[in-house]
Amino acid sequence: MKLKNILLKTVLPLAVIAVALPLISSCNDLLRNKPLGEQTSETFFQTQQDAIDATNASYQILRDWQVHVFSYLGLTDIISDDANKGSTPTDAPFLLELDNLNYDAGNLAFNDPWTGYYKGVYRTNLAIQNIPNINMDQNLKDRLIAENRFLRAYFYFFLERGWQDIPLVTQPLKPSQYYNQPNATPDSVYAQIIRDLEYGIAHLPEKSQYSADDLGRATKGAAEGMLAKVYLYMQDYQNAQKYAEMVINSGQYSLLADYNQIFTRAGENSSGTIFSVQCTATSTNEGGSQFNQVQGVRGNPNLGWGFNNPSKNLITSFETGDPRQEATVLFVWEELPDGTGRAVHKNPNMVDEHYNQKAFVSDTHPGGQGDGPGNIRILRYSDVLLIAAEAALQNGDAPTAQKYLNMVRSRARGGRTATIGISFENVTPIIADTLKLTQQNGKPMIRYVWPNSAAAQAGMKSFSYQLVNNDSQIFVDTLDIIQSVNGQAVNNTTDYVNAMKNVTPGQNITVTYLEVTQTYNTSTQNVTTNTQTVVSTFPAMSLLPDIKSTGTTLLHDIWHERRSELAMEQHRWFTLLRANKVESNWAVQEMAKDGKTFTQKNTVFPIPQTEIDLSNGSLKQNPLW
Amino acid sequence: MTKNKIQTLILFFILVSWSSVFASVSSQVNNQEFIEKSALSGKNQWNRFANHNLNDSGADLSARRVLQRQTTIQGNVTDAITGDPLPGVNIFVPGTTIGTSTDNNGQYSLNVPENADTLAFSYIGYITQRVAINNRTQIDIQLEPTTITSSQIVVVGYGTQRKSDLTGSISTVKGTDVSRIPTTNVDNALQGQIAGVQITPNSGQPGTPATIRIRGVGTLNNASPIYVVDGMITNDISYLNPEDVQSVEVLKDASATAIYGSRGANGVIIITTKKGTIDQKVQINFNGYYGWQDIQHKISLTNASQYATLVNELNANEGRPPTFQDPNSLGQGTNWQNEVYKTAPTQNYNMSVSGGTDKLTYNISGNYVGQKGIISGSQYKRMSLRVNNDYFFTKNLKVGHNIAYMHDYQQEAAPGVVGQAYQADPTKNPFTSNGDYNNITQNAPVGNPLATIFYNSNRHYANRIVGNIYAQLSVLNNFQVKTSFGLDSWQKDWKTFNPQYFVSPIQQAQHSQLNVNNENSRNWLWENTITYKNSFGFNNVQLLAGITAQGFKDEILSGSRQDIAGNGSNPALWYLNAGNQQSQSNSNAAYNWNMLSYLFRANYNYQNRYLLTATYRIDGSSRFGSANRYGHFPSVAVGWRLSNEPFLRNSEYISNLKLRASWGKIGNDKITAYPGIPTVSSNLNAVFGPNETINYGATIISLANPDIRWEQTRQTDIGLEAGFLKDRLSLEVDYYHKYTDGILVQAPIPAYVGASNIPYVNAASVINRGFDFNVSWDQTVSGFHYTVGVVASTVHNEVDKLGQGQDAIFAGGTGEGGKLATRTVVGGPIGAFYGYKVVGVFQSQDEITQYNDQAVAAAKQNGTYDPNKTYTYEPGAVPGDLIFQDTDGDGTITSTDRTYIGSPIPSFIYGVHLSASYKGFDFSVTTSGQTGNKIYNAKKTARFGTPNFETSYLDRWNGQGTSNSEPRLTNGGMNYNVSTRFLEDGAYFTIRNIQLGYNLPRSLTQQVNVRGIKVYLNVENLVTFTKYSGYTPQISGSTISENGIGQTSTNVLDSGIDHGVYPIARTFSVGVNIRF
Repeated sequence: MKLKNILLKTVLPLAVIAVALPLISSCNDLLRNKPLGEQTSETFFQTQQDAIDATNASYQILRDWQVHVFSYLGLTDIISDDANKGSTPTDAPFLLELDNLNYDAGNLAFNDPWTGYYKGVYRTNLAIQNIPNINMDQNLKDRLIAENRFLRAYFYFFLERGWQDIPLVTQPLKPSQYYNQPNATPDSVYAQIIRDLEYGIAHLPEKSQYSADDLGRATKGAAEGMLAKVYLYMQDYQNAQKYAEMVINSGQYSLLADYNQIFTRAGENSSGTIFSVQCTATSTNEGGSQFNQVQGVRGNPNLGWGFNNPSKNLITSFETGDPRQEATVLFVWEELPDGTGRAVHKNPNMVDEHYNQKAFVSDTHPGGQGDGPGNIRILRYSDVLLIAAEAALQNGDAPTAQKYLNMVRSRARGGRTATIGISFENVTPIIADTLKLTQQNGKPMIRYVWPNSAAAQAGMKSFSYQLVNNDSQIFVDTLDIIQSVNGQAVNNTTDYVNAMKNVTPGQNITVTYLEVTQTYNTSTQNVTTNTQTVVSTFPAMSLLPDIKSTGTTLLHDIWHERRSELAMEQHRWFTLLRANKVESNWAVQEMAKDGKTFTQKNTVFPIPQTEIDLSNGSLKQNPLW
Repeated sequence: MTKNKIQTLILFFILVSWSSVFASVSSQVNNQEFIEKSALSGKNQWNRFANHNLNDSGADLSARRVLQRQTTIQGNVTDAITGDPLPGVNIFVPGTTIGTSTDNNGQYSLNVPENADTLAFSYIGYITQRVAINNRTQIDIQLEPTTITSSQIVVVGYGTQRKSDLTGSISTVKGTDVSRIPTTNVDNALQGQIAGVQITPNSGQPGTPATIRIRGVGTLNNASPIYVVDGMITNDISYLNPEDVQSVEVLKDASATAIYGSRGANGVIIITTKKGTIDQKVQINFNGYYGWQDIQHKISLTNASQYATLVNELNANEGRPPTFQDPNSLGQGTNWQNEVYKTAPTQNYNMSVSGGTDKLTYNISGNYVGQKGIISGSQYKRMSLRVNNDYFFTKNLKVGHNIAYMHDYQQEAAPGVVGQAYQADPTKNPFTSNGDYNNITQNAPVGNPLATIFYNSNRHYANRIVGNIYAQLSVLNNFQVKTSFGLDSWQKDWKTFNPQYFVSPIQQAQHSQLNVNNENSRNWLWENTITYKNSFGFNNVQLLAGITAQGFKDEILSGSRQDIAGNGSNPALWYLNAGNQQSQSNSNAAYNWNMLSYLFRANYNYQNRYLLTATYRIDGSSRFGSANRYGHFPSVAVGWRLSNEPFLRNSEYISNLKLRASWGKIGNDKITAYPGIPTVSSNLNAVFGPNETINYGATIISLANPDIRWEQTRQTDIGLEAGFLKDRLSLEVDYYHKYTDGILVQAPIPAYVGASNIPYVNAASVINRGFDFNVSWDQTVSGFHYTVGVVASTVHNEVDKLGQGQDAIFAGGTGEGGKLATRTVVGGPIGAFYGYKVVGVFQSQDEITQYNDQAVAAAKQNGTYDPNKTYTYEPGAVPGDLIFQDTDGDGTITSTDRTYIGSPIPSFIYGVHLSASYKGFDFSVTTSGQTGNKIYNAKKTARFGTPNFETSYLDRWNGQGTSNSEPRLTNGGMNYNVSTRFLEDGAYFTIRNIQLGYNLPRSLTQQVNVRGIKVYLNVENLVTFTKYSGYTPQISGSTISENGIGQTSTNVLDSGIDHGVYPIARTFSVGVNIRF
């Protein structure tokens, strides 16, 4: 009994305490977990490597779907007169609303780029805020901050041009600031962009100063060129010219001789590249983007989804014989520009089927379709030349304007000065086989004959065809294949180019071509192929002659050159909006030519309704919406 | 917490346990065994839980002081109904501390003072009797059981209690009511059986658990309850075999759940599995059923010619030429739902062996479940084994374990196939003339669902061991020390494989791809409790104290490769080494959390009439920062058993009457493991250099909030329990009021913040209040036994405040552009639907003009009228567009005209249960239903392209007077704004289960040496009565991933939004139950 009482009164309480004590003393350790396998804010932004890693992450967002892929194409090309939605008629109807200019604030296309560009702003803000506190090489530190500030300026430049009165966030927001950001004025946004780019100019190396491994990072020239463009949009032409000429005079850039080469894989980072989003395809999907896939050939060959189709308005807008038309547009039955000999087959489910050749990449890479290797061109040297030209004109210096403009045109001519007024491409094996004209394989066939051109007057015709039964069988209404020029045999497109190099405008030339036509007997379902060799002699026309105009004509010429040179490179819509401010109703007229009704509303994108909702009313919708 | 410290802790507990063993050995000197009958384990089951003994401790000392003048009274105490002897009955002299208790044979002997004139006999579950001694020395007593319900033993947190002593709100479901319903999951079987509990199947996919809400949605976060299976705390009971369930207790109010502290805010479901009983002969039980499932309800979609007609009209409306030359010639076309949803078998076999001696009890069961999904390719198989044993080493020491092992295999339905069946173009054939899968994307950018099924392989395997081992020691008769170590070790492997294939540009793979994932989660729980139990006269006291620690870690290792040898045609090659090494990628991630808790509980009752329960728990959690790491969770409850009062004790009609009230504070910590620490996302790589080198990138793209603290719920509950006519009619009514404060919200933030992940904040307070009813009638009339039970509950859900200067929380992204369909504001329900009210369809340009006049009038009225401006009521509207209500009265439709349009939370949930038996036949029906909620038919709003239409589109406006509710055909635009157009009534009533059984006559079964054979027919989900057009009105919301690893939870901010769920199946089955 006694023992029990002792136990009751002493042992048990002691046992309880004995159990409790170690738990209490150890609990702080038990409960102090750190995230596993992940660095945290406490351990990041400590070392030089962290600064580099964070900066790389700022570049990574450039490859993102939200930033440079689907809706982005909608808000830049499809909405403009350059492109149609593409794909099958009913795929992605919200992009069709953009194409038809009948979108509203609920349109999905406004969400993604808005979100993606602000993600970019956040990443760069974080890096700009934290890198200064890292103990590291000062030059590298300055450069990394400058790279981030360049990228931040790029993100804001897109947002500003699209939405105008946007929240201006220059530091990572605290929780108390999430829901109360107001609209900032365009002036304050531009002021921030200019500060960032000036910092970039001060601290970024020139392209040639970087080590080779850093190819693709933001450069001093990129910051200068971007700032020139910013000033152009602000209509500050003095500064626009100044910064553009800094690029031009830097000796870092030149126009690549062959325009066609720029958009091939080999042409990536060539001499005219000032800034582009670097992509690569790996089998582990780490470095690609979907930029190529969404614009890729839909059907056969199966390269993508076929969005963002060059419009007929764009195709016909090129000056007579402009070789850039052929470099911009990938037509049906055209040989793929990848040397595989494959042609684009007609896909009956597509309307007005043409593809953006500038976004073409072959499927012969280790990544999947969704992991395209093609770099996304952001700023090219010819763009800077055209900025300089336009700014010089506005500054009253037409000769300088002409000089820069004609540099661009000269390169576009590709060593020729004369044209008969056609675009041409190789006869592909499938066409040659279908028409049983295998000896014509590889010869230049006429794709497009400019109206009123010499070739048109001589009776040459654009390629036209009809589809029979399914997508592999065509029958041809007209197909003209060039056989010789001025007696020189033409067995391939190079022969044709070389033959034309010796021709001067006005000179009479003799062109021999094979005209192929087919007739289809609907009752017997028989197809009859007729061929006829035609010899025509007519005066050659001038190809992209140097511009000597001044005043408003020159301004319009520069704008037209900008369209031809930079077609399908996602610049057109903002150019239209800008030009519309310089010359009222310009966009209205231009868009009308493409059958689109441009109204005041279209000068600014609506802010996504979800943003207005989530900001608790502090963010206001643009009054036009 | 280092490993060493854990080991030190374990060592300490072993030492303490040993010292307790030592103490108990020494206490055996004067030991009188006391055995409490556990109603849980059935009549013959003895639980050697040493109880109090009045001859021990202080009481017998006072007895000895009066030794000289005393007489000895002896006798036996039996059950008034069965006549069985009752061991452990308290016998005492009222007003003194003199007393004893009966032995194993119901015998007692007590020395009483000569002046004592009355003896009192009290026993758990029986009506206390006072008997005049009248100089007798032999007094035999028959004790009347209190009513069946009130004598029940109910499992509560860390112990058991008589139902009659409960002060909290706890609902019990018997195991037979769980296993009766042929389903693979315990939670699915509970639907409609518990008042205040809403159970919604997430999907008809085999092997998918349901969403459970207890008393409304008390959080904006994960609102799911926790499960406690034989003491082991877990979030998932998918491993449980319903046949193993002995009972399910749902703890609803704060008095019941506060002992689980930070885990209890959403309610606690305690599941007890079956055990053997002492001195029980071997019992072998076999149960098996085989059934056929088919889709319960198909969505009414347009056929080929209807579709073509609508497409042509849509093209015309959107300025395109017609797609189809002659829609009428197309006929029915392909019914994709018929192609995808097929009849599928389900089967379940269960075998158990149980028994016991006085040294050992055992229950071993094995189970096989095989269920094919109604979508071809989906299936679930589960094999499980359970061993529940108790070993009685000494009279005071019991060691036992409940261990379940499970292996399961799940093939998920191919991702997207439900949506494809809903959207696919009906004018296309599934196959080309060559027998290939047809490219059906010309009109609708929707893949061929049959190809999706064929090319998709998604296989999950899991091995899981859940169980605990415990030692329970009785010390000094009044004390019981228990230590229990539980483990839930879950290894999940899954493989997904896609071959290289091409059907259409949007349905293709250029490379075959294999993904392999291994996930290991380990959840350990160590609980140490001390219980003290004693009675002092009419005062009954029970005290509990404990310390528990729990740790969880989850780790995932995954890899993938492409170009699997032979294009993967042979599953034997579905291993990473069979793929192209160049394409390999891998990842490894983990998270963990730990908890440390202290718990206390006191139960007191006086004369079994006045009841008091107080609990207190302190929880520490690694999820929170050091400043907010500990939470304190008190509760108190009182009860009054009126039926034990003299004025009711002998009532002819009222057999049980109890009032109870409780208040308490509980927490919810169901959020990610490290909500306060921003983490760095890796592999944000850039490409640089002439060779396009991948440059590693990383930064912080997920936000975090270091200041977050516990979410706390204060709950008040007032309850009435009553039994009438010998409990033939029983009734339980509760009023509850839950106030949840500092709710942890992962509220959407504007995109301009730029984050990729949304941080948690303590942002809002929510009230849930309502009534729970539970009424049942139970009667036997000349061999015909029947019961009728009704459970019902009302829920009023209201947000009381939102923090951080928030006026509203928008969520629920739907349709194109992720239009937000819900808005949570003060005064409204959580996740309230928010959108435009549709008042009609513009029939003509004239009507639009009339409405525009309203805009002019409104502008004139508020003085902003400008004659040079044009005023439009609804900008952009053309005849055939919806007319939205101008709720803000400014004469024009803008986003501010959106308004509250309905609640996703039902206001009334109910279930009716009927059962009847006569001779060998038994019959039962279980139903459930709810009203008051809306469902947003989001799948109908997603028209990325021109997918198939619901037939409601046939009623569209296509000319004046054709419709005033369905607008003209478009694929987007204003008619697809969030509006009442897509909001449907979510009320339903479903016949959950019907069963008809027949027990073969004993004369027959005895001939084959079998104790009993029952055959039964069962129908599950026979029919659902609802106006909702979707597959099922039981929409739990969208599934989100917690931590991105494994677990899923349901975000209450987007509940009631139907994005297209795997349809629920109707099942017909036949089964047999044999008892050997």
